[in-house]
Amino acid sequence: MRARPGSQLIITGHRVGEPDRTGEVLEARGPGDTAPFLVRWDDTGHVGLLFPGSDCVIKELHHSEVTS
Amino acid sequence: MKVADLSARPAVTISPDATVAQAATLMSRAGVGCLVVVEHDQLVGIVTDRDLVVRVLGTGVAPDVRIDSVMSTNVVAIDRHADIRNAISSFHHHAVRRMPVVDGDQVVGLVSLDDLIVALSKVFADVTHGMTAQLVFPHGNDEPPVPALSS
Repeated sequence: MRARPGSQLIITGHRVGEPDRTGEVLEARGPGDTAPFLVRWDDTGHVGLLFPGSDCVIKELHHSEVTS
Repeated sequence: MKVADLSARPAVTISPDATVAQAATLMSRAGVGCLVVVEHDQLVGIVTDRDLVVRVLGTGVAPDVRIDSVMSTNVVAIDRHADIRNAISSFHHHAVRRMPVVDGDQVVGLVSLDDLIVALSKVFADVTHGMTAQLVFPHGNDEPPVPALSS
């Protein structure tokens, strides 16, 4: 999975009623824009590193979706 | 204090195609309760002893299933150069008890909430040592005032 700064990261909820978790990718620390990603989470404002799973979706600025 | 200063231990890794039984054996042999799942040098998940209890034993899953079917994904990590306040914030916001420590994109260790508590308790011990001395000897360093000489 690749992401560029400014991309939106979405982790879908797995249980009924569980909301999606979204954040903004601030930085990709792996080679070639790969994980880990430095993410600012929309719900808490917390900034931290994430190794995304296969259920994670990256939305680029031009709104095309990239999944792993 | 940096994350690298904590007594973080090296991460014990396992391949995603290993079985649950192999993971349990590895945990037992390595004396750890958490394995980092790595594929092609890339972290893909994390599995804890609690996962094996809740997701395997608790649901009747056979011990020969692949570990990537019971592991946790979307793994929160912490940079080894980060301040421990960042680690505290990550533990708080993500409700996890263990985090891989990374240097760039490489996993270099594992830090637990217990490691953090031990490190902070040493800091508190240093602070309370001085406070205890002040409580036991409250006026130990007070010098009596020098009376003014009157001519």
